[in-house]
Amino acid sequence: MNTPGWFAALLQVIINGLLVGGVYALSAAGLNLVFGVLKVANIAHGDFMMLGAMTAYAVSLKLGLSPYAAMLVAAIVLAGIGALTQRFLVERVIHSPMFVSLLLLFAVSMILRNGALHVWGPTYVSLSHDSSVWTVGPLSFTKLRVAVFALGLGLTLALLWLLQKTAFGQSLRATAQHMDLAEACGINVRRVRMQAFALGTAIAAMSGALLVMLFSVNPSMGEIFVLKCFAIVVVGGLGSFSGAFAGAMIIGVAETLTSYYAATQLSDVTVFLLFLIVLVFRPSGVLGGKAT
Amino acid sequence: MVKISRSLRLLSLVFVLALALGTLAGCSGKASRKTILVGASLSLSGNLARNGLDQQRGYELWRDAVNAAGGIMGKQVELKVYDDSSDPQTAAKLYEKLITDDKVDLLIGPYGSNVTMAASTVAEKYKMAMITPGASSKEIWERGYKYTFQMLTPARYQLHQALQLAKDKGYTTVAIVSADSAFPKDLANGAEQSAKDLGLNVVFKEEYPEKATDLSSLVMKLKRANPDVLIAGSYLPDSVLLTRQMKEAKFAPKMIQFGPNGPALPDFAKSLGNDANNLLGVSQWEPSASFPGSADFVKSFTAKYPGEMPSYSVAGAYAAGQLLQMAIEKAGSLKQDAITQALYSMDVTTIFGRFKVDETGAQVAHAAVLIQVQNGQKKVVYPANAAETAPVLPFPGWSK
Repeated sequence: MNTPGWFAALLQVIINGLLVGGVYALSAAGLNLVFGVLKVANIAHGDFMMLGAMTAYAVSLKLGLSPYAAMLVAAIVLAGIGALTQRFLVERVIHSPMFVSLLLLFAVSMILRNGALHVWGPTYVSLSHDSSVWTVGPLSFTKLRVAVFALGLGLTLALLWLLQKTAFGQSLRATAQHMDLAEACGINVRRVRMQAFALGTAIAAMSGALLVMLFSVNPSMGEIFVLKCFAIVVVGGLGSFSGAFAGAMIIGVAETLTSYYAATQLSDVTVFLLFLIVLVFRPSGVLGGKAT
Repeated sequence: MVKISRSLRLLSLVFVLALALGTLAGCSGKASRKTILVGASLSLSGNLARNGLDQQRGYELWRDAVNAAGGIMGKQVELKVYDDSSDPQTAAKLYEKLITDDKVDLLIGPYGSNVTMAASTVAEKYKMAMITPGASSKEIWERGYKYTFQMLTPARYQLHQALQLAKDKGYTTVAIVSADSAFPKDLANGAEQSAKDLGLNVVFKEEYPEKATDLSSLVMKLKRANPDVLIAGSYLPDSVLLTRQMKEAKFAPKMIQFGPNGPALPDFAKSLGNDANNLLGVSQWEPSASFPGSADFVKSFTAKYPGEMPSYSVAGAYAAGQLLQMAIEKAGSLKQDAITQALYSMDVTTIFGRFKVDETGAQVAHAAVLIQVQNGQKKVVYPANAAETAPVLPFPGWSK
């Protein structure tokens, strides 16, 4: 009771922001990976998240799996879909100007979204939600959101480890830095690109599967998240994983602070204002230059 | 001889012209038809398909009922339905086709405010009455149109009953939140007006982005405002998000009231399970309604679609047919102007409830009911004459 009320509120708003950031971090990681290695802006990323969410939901209901087990199934299924999408579509335009791959993925996005709308209809789905909270003094932490945050952080660390410490990571980095040189060094860059895209869609599926527990989602959910993911990746620094994590935290906290101290309606304005400021004054992102 | 042949020629010219004019006006085709052809375009695919398909079921049930009872003025009713795939422009084109190609005798409305907005311009152009079972946006009735008739309770009146209930219970302070798009804003502004009219104190009002992914800060502000009643003008995903984040923040006012896109929809309780309990919503119509013919209508629906219950879209469409029939019988003809006149002067009750419009065609008498999720079941709780059971108030708190 010796914490003043305004200070406890401020802390709570920041905590809420960081926890929202955890959701964003996970969503943005896959997008960032694909951009880093393939140099394509995956505009269909949100729709891969949606497909992961719907798959996890269907699997959990049909097979009675726990949401976390369903998340792994969704990740495997989407890794396959991602690999096919890359091999037969994206790979064919990989050397074309960026807008060609952008248009191609836009078409993929439309097909996925409307296909899902046809299969599942416009209904909203959600898996059972655990609203229980940990209370520390005047502050409260929703357990499920803490779990999502931990997963986002864990996945970021795992990706960093994978990139820095493994042979696969080395070939990913080599391909990201210079495709032709990597190929000359004996790296099968086509396979690396396919693996990176598959990993990216698998991560998208995992974040989608977690979102089914936090939100009510439907086949159109992709559009809500994909733009925010782009904002996060740009704020954090394109291609940098620690940057994307920092970007997600910054965007999350900026949103909750704006909502609490100004108006909820302005939260998106703040997000894209930050996006513009970073783009103009620090185009490499807040942690840019450390690109991995 | 020459004279006669000239006058004959003139006569035949007049005759041909008259015939051509008659065909152009579409009169001769209709007059010779033995049935009454009613045309509609519905969202049978696309994002509004659920409601569109329900409306089709309603129209078909009405057609079957009216034909079994001998038709309208001795003529059987025939339906002509096209799919507008939930697209307003397509709907407008299809209504044009219904009128000019199919030469329908009567029109009946599509589903959704946006689609109705576009379709009604065609009805207006051809001066044909259109009863709309699936539109509640006030903008449709603010264009000075004369041939579009509303059946649903307009958005701005939908929460009036909720504030009346709050007042009955002695609650005094109200917080209102809503998504920042047209329909939720209409709900919220209407609720604010109703609160003022009833002498309740609005202590907090704020909008949030329609596609919000986090409402935790809004909930913290609500908690600080500490109202007796929370009114939320929302769509389904934000209704679910708001509910979860209220529970997480342990914010439990005495009464939690959503608009039509919350506890009234089956997906809400499906998403939230026990957390949906004791939350209130608004519904245009429920199968438990006790209007004349409602019970028979529900029976005929469940006979045709076993294991299902009719939604408000099915009932509204059926009632639109009833209204059309009442208007024709009152007018005593199929002439559009006579039907339109009749619709303006009618104050009637269908299986959907009361129907009466003002001089713009906007609904003034249909009363939406309040529903509450009680032990996982949706129950009508207000007003008393429609209630299945009493509302559980004050809100007993969130489930563990």
